[in-house]
Amino acid sequence: MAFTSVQFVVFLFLAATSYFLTPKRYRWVTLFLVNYIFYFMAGAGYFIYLLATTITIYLAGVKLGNMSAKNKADFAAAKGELDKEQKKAWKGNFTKKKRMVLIPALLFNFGILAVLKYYNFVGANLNALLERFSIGAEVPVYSFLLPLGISFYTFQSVGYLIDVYREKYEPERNLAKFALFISFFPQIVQGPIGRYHILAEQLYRPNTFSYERVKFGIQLMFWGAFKKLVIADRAGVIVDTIFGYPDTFGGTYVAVAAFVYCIQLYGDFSGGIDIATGAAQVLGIQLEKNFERPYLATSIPDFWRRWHITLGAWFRDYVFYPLSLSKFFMKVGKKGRKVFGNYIGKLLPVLIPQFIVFFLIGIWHGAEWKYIAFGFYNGTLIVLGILFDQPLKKLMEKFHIKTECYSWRLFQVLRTLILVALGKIITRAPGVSASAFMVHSMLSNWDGDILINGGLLKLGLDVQDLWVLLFSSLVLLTVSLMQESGIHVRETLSKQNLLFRWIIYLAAIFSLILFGVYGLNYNASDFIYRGF
Amino acid sequence: MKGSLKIVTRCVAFFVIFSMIFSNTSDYLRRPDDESDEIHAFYDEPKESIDVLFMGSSPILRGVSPMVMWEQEGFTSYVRASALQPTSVTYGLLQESLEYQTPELVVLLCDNIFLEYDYVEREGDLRRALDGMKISKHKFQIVNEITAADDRQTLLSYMFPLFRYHERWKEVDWAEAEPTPLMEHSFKKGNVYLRGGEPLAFSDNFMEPSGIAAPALNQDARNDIEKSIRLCKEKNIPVLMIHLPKMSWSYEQSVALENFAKEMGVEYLDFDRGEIRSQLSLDPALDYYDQGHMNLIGSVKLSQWFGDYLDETYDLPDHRKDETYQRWHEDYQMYAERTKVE
Repeated sequence: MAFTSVQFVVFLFLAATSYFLTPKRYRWVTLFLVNYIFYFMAGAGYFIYLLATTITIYLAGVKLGNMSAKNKADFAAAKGELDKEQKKAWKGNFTKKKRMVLIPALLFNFGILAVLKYYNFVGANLNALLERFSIGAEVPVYSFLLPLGISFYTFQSVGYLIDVYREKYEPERNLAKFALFISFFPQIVQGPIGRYHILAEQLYRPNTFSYERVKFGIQLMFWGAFKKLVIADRAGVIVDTIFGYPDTFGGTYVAVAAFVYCIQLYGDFSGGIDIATGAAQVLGIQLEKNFERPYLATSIPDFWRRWHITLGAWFRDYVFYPLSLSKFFMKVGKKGRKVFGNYIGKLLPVLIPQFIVFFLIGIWHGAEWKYIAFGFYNGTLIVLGILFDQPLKKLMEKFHIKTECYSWRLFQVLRTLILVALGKIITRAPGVSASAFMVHSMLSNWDGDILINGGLLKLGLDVQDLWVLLFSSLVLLTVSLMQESGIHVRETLSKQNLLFRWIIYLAAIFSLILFGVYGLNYNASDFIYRGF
Repeated sequence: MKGSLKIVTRCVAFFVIFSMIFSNTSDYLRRPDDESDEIHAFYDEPKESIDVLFMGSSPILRGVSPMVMWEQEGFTSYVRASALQPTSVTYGLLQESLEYQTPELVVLLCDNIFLEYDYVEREGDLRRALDGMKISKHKFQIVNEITAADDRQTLLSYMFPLFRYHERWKEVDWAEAEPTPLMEHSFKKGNVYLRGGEPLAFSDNFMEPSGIAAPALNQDARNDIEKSIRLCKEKNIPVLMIHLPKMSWSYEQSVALENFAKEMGVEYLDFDRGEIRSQLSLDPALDYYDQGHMNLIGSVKLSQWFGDYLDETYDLPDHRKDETYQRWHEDYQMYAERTKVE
C-alpha cells in the first residue's frame, strides 16, 4: 500500500476513526490491530519475519530485565561483603551473562536480515570466485522476497534490546505493547527508526483528537506527497534516462543527472518521511526528525547529521561509540601514537570506527558493490576531513580567509553539495565501473551548451515539465531556507487570514492533482527507500 | 460546542469551494468525446419516456438513428453504445439504464461475444463509455472488473476523470480554453454518425457457408450477455439480439449467434443474412463508412427499415402527437438540419 495511494488515505482515515472512537483505555489495542492489519495487507508471507523479530527481541528483553532486577537485588545484598576488585569482577561476570542473552538475539535478527538481504550477493560473489579458480562447486541462489520494512524494524527493535541490555530503561513486559512499538504502520515502511523511550509512551498513551494537530498532520502529508509526486517522480524521468544510457549521455549530462538525482532522492525520501510523520501526527504521535535541510550542510559530517538522522544516530549510538570507546580501539590509539605520532594516533579510535560505520551504512542501503563503494567514499571523505581539519584551519588563518561570512558558508554548502552529488552517482549508476565511467566522462567531456541549446529536452521531460520541476524545486528550496531561519511554516501559515490560508491550501492541493506524476501516462514509481 | 460547529462549518465550506474548482478544472481538462457525451445525455431524458433501448458497440452506435425512427414511426429510443464496448460495460450500462427507463424493448448487439477483451490495451475505449456514466454502483462494478484485470488503472480515475486527464494542462491553450462539460442533452439520442467513407465491395462469397468453424463464444462475454438477457426477462422486457451489417462477418458466426439466441429464448436478427439484406439493399459503395460501420446515409437507410420492423413486430407506441414529447420534435429538427447533405 503506497503512501501516495488512495488506499493509504482510506486506511489512515479508518485507522484514525477507529482509534479515536475506541475507549481511551483500549486505544493502544486498536493501534496494535491496525498495524498488524496494515502489515498483513502488505503480504501475509512477510508476517512470519515480523513475528520472529517481535517475539525473540521481546523474550530477550524480558530476560535481560529479569536478570538485571535479580542482579540488583543480589548485588545490594552482597555489596557490603565485597571489596572493589570483587565488585568489578561481579560486574564483569554479570555483563558476560547478559551478553549470553543479547548476542544470540542480535545474531538471530541480524541473521534474518543478512540472509534475506545479503545471502544472494555473497553467494553470487562466491560463485564468481569459485568459477575464477575453476572450482566445480556452486553456492545455490534463492529468490528471497524482502519483507516490508525489515531493515527499519530490525534496527528499531535491536536498538531497544541494546538499550535494555545497557539498563537504559526497563523492558516492555506486555508482548502486544511491544509488538505495537515494532510495527507502527506509518514508520515501519521507511522509517524514521524510532527509539523506545521516545516512541513507546506515545503509542501506549490514549491520544485524544485534536483538530489543530490533525490539520497539521494532513498538511504535512500533502507537503510530502508534493515532494514525492511533483518533484521526485518528475526528476526521476531525467535521472532514469541519463543513468539508463550512460554511453549516450556523458559529459555535462552526468552532472545534470547527479544534481537532479540529489533532488529526486531528497524529494522521494523526505516526502515519504513527511507523509509518515503527518500520518502519525493525525494519530497524536510525534515521530523523530529524519531530515534537517541536508543540502544546506556545510560539510560531509554535517550532511550526515542532517540526512536520515535516525539511521545516523542509530549507528552513532550502537556502533560508533561502542567501537570507539572499546578497549581494543583504546589500545589501537595508544599504539598509533607511538607509530604515527600524537595527532594521528589520537584520532585513530575515531577514524577507524567512522570508516566502519560508513561501510555499514553503505551495505545497509543494499547488497551491491556500489553501496559498499558508496560507504567507502563517504568514510574516506569523513576521515580526510578529520585528518586535515587542523592543517586547513591553520592554512586559512595564514591566508586570512574569513570563515564567519555568508560567502564562505555558500562555498561550503556548494562544495558539500558537489561531493554529495558525486556520491549519488555511485549509488545510482548501474555499477561501480559505470559510475567511474560516468564521472570520467563528466570531467573529460564537459559541454555547458546542453543547458541552453535544448539538450535538456532529450531527457524525457518537455519544456512545461522542466518548468514545473524548476519551479517546484524552488518552492522546496524556499521552504527549506525558511525552516533554516527558524520559521515554522505550518504554524506561521495558521496565523494568517482565512482567505490567504485557503488560497495556499487550494493551490497546494491542485498543484498536487495537476502536476503530480501519476496515472497511466507515467510508470508508477515506488518510494526508493522502501527498497532498502 | 460552538468551536466544533465552527470547525465543521469551515470544513464544509472548504469542501464546497474545493469541489467547485475541482469540477470546473475537470471540465477544462476533460478529453472531449462524442460517445461519452451521448452516454451522459441519456440522463436528461425524462424518466420512463424511452420505448426502445439499443445497447452494444460501434456498429449500433453508428448504424442506428433513433431520430429517423421517431420521425418515421413515432416511438422513442436511445442508443447507449460506444466503440469496442466490452460486454461487461454493456451489462453495467443496461443495469443503470433500466433504473431510469422501462422500455418496451431492449435491442442487444452481440458481435463482441466472440472477443476476448483486453482491458489493458483498451483503456481509451473503456473510458469512452465510462467517462459519460454518473457515479453509481454499476459503474463501481464495471471499474472493479477493469482494475482487477489491470492494476495500472484506478477506481479513482474512473470516478473522477480529472485524475486521469490531469496532465492535459500541458495541451490546453489556457488563453482560449473553455470548459467542456459533458453534454446535458442530445438531439441524436446516442447515435454518433459518420459521414463519407471509402467505396467498398462485398467479397464474392460473403455470408456463404465456408466450412470453417466459427470462433468459439468467449465465456466471459457470454456470461455478460446471459446476465443482460436475464435482467430484462426479470423486468418483463423483451430482448432482440441483433447483428448489424459488417463486411468482416461470416455465415458461421451468424449461425453461432442465432443458436445462442435460441438457447437464450430471444429473437435474433442478422442484417447480413438473406431476406433482410435484400430488403435493405445496402450499397457497399455508398452506405458503408468502413468494413464494420454504416455511414450516415447507410444508417438512415438501415434505421428506416429497422424502425418499421420494430414498430410492426413489437407494436410500439406513437408519441408524435403527444405534447409531452414536444422536445423530440425540436430534437428532430436539429437532427434534420445537421444531417442535411452538405
